[in-house]
Amino acid sequence: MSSEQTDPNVTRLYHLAAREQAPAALDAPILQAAERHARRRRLRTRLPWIAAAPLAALLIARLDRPVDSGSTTIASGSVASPRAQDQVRHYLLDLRIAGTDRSTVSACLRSREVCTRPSAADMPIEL
Amino acid sequence: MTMTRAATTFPCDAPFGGTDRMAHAPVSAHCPHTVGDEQLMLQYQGGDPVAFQALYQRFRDPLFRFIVRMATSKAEAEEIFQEVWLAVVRGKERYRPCARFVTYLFAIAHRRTLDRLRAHGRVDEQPLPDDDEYAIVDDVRVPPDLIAHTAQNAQALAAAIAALPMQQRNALLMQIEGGLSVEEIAQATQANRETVKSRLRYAMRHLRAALENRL
Repeated sequence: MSSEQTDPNVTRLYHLAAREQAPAALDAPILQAAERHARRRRLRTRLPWIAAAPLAALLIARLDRPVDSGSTTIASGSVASPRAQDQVRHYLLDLRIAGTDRSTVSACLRSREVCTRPSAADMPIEL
Repeated sequence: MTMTRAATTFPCDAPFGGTDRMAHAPVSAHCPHTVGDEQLMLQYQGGDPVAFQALYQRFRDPLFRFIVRMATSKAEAEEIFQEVWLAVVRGKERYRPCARFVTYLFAIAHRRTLDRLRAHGRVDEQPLPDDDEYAIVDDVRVPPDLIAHTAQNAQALAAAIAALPMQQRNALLMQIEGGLSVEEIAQATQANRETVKSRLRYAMRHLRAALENRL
């Protein structure tokens, strides 16, 4: 910066004179507002995980539970019957997981990610 | 009365530190004094309130002194001071480190102060005088013995600053309190670089002349 636009002596003198400080009473409301906004931000970041955990637990619990006491067990080595798939589909839809619609459930059942174990593609569904 | 405030944004050609791996590390994990202002603001964006406290501590008093010299009363200065920091808090999502944080902060302060002054019809937007008018005092330098750090001279300087036209005072205080360069002052005040240079030049001449008269 050119000396026409600045003068170290003036600056030094200014800093000797200018000693005002912001009143301490102003600190608390500002810092509290900052903390509040930061907390909101942290919550927003974690919310999807907080929401996903119970949903995942619920899904596992529903799948582990016998669906219908009167149902038959499909023999080992066979694929799940259309009726069994329908029942699982309904239960999955009942869970109302965000982003889970009929097509997602159907795709899931087709790929057997939920209704069979990956190591044994033809394992029956316990109903 | 409704006042419209444009968002304080700067053109972002080369993002500063946006992809830095430390961007979202908690400030408490390292010494806050070694962390840049822009980094602290990014950390606050990520939800770290300690980063904001560090920024607040750094700029609390310089910002207050800037505002108190621009506002017409201490009460008004306190209100503007709060507004500026709350604007930083509320607008943290919009902050992009395209400029130094101090430029961003003083740009908000400038805008808020101007809004207040305009609302009360106290903005002097006089055009700058021709260079010739100041030719006589152009070469006047503050003699070393004048800078004797006396309270009298300091008071005279404070009075001379208070008497400066608003835009010159604004540019001068941004330079002295915020350490902003000509380019940064131009960015913060949305003024032409040459205009800022002129404002600073005239302000400095006024101050030198005022101090010279005390000899």
